[in-house]
Order: sequence, then structure tokens, then C-alpha cells
Amino acid sequence: MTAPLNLIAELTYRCPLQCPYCSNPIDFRSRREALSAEDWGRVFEEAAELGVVHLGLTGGEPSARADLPEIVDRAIAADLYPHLVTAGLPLTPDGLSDLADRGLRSVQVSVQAANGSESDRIAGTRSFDAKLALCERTKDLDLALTINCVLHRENLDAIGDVIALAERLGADRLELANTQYHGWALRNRSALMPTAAQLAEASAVVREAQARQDAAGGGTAMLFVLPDYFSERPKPCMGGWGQLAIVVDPTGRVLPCHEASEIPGLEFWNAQERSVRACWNEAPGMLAYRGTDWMSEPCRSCPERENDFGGCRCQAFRLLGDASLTDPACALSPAHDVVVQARDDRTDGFEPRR
Amino acid sequence: MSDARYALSRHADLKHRTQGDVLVLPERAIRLSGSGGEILALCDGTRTRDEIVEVLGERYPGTAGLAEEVERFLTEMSGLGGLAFDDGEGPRGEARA
Repeated sequence: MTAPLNLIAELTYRCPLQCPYCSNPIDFRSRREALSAEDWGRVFEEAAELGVVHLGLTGGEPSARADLPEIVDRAIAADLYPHLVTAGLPLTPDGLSDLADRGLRSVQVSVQAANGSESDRIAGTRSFDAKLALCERTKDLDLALTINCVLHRENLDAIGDVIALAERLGADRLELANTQYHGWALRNRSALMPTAAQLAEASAVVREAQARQDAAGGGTAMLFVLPDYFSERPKPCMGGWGQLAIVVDPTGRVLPCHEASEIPGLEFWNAQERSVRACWNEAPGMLAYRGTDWMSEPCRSCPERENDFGGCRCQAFRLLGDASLTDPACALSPAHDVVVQARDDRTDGFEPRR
Repeated sequence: MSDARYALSRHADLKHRTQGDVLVLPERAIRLSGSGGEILALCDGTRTRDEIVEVLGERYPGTAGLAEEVERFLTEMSGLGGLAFDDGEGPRGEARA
């Protein structure tokens, strides 16, 4: 059994933003936030025993929880490296300083665009100024700063401005994350879907910025990957099902990714009821797609099967109704056409997350 | 560079688990094999590369190619952003992940 390295702790579904590509489940309002800070502390200890070293504190918006400082204390007590993934509010710069004092090591702040009014429009909430203030405090505290911007048709043309913003803020890393179509994003797919021409132009802008940084001897490290809908290759989702990352959702369920609980018929276990080790090693849902034995053709005999793991199980379920099929983002999938056709299915105007 | 003293970069941690040693960076974790964790533990800001090789040579006498192995490993870890150097004029040369 591979030891997991990363625990993704979804502390809450609550978030002040209403992004149209929100990764919360569609029915999140009916779910109960179950784990106290003390419960999380036990999850952290048990995850560390399994080999976990890195902890992503995420949500929803993790700072929507008033007990986030205590949760960071418990991460440090469990010898984990705590990393905060935040929309930039309701956490304040002084609140961030307190978390840093407690041992927080790095921060990822999302922006929805490089321009304040545009970022606030896409987020559905006035938030841009708070995000910038948090980025500045992150740098003042000498914590590592990642800026994340989810990309789609309405902001891809301004990708150069996002790079310039990240460089101006002194970000260590910039994730230029093309939208993945799950949950709310799938609902808004035709409004978010970029054009191939936009993606080609964006790739060129990133390459130019990279060349400029290389000539200058360094800068903000940029991560930009062509979206799987356009790349003809499936993404190696989560580094394989139940391999490197443990997700624990706000209800306490232990999952291989935050979407997996949406696949009907898979039984996952809850960290409230069993040890994290049992949930990770033995839950039927965790075993369902671990490794390569579950694969059918064309994955089963494919030389890429150990590299891309057949792509994303949740995407196969969402688009084809069967999580055990080859991810249709792969050009070798007999159902690849559903992805090819979606590239040209565009309508204007997204629906905000409610 | 031979006078440079090695330390973990300010955003890096070395973690020990029963499953093995791991270098942790922001949003990244790298499993260390063999004596990787032991070498990084010696990167505490007080030792040059030659001194690290010397300590390991005393622990494992007669190991062939030790200097080359340490050199290769430190270069790799620097490239990942895990190490910083101090040549007496303050930390510098920290590679980015």
C-alpha cells in the first residue's frame, strides 16, 4: 500500500463567494458540518501515522470557521506542514499573523481575475481588496505565497494581467488553473468553456512570461496545464485513486478526492466512526478504483495506464454514467466525442453558486 | 561554492515517518530514499558540502563514490527549492520550487 503524503481537510462548505465553478457539491446546504477542532486533531494524528506530512486546510472557505487557530495548533501538534487555501476572507491580515505565529507555513489565495471589479463580479462578492491585503501580509510574514486563478472563457484573455499581478505581489507560485467541469462548473460548462484560440493564445503568453523569467534568473513559478477537454489526454487525477492524497470532507467522510462521494454506489467510511487507517485501507469505495485491476479496455492494455490512471473516475461518471469507464477526455475513449462536442457548446452568462 | 553552508530553505521542512523521510515544500512533498533524509538533516546551516561528506564518511566508512552521491543529491534538492546556501554574507541562492 502506498503511503499517502497529503491530507486535504475540507473544514467547511461555507464560503462568502459564489463562484460559478465552485467545487462544493450541488446539495452542500443539506450536509452537516460534523468535525470539531478536537476531531480534526485526531484525524491529523492518524493521518500522520499513515505517512501524511502536508496538510491543506481548505473548504469551502476554511477561515469561515472561528476555530481555525485551534485547528492549526492541532496540525502542528501532529507534526504536519499546514498550508491554508483561502478566498481571502473573512480571514483578516491580523488573523493571518496569528495563524503564522501558531505555525502556518504557506498560503494559497484565490483571485477570480487580475482586475478588482472583474474579480468581484465573477466571485459574486466584493472580495478583491481583502485578497490583496492578505497576499501582502503573507509576504510580510515570510510565508510561501501561491496565487490561484481559475481560468475560463471570461478571464482567459487577461491571463497576462494575472501573471503581472502575481509577480507584483511577489508570489512564489501561480496556479493558472483551467476550470474542471464538476459540480457547479459542469452546470455552467457552456458559459465557462474557452475557445481553442483563447487557449493557444494563453499558452503563448505563459511561455513568453516563462522565457522572460528565465532570462531574469527566476520569478514566480507558473503552473499552466492545457485543460483535459482540449488536450486529448486525460489528467492523472489526484495522482491515482487513493494513492497520494486523503480528502476528508466536512461531514467526516474519508475520500480519494472531493468529488468521489458523488458517485452512487460507492461506500466510503467516516472518520467519526472508524480510524483514518481503516477508512483509507479498507473502505470499499477506496478500494474500488485503486491500482489498475478495475480497468477495462482501452485502459487495461494501455501503456499509459500507470501514468494517467485512466483519468478521472468522477468525470467518467458525470459524462458517461459509469465511473469504471475510460475518462472520455482521452482520445482513446470510445465516448471521446462527448468531450469534443462540448468544446463548441457555448452560451453566454453563468449562474452563480447558490 | 565549496565554502557555502547548506540549510533547508525557509519554506522547507524535513519530516520523519515510519514509512520514510519526506521533504515538504509548499503544496509539495518529496519522498527521500536511501540516506536522503540523513543528508538533509546535516544541512543545518553549519556545514559545507565537504563537511557533510566527511560526517557521512565517518558513519559509513569505505562507501564508494560518497562525494559524488552527496553532490548529486544536493544539486537535485536545490533544484526543487529545498535548500538554501549561506556563504557568510547572508542566505542567498535559494532555488524556487
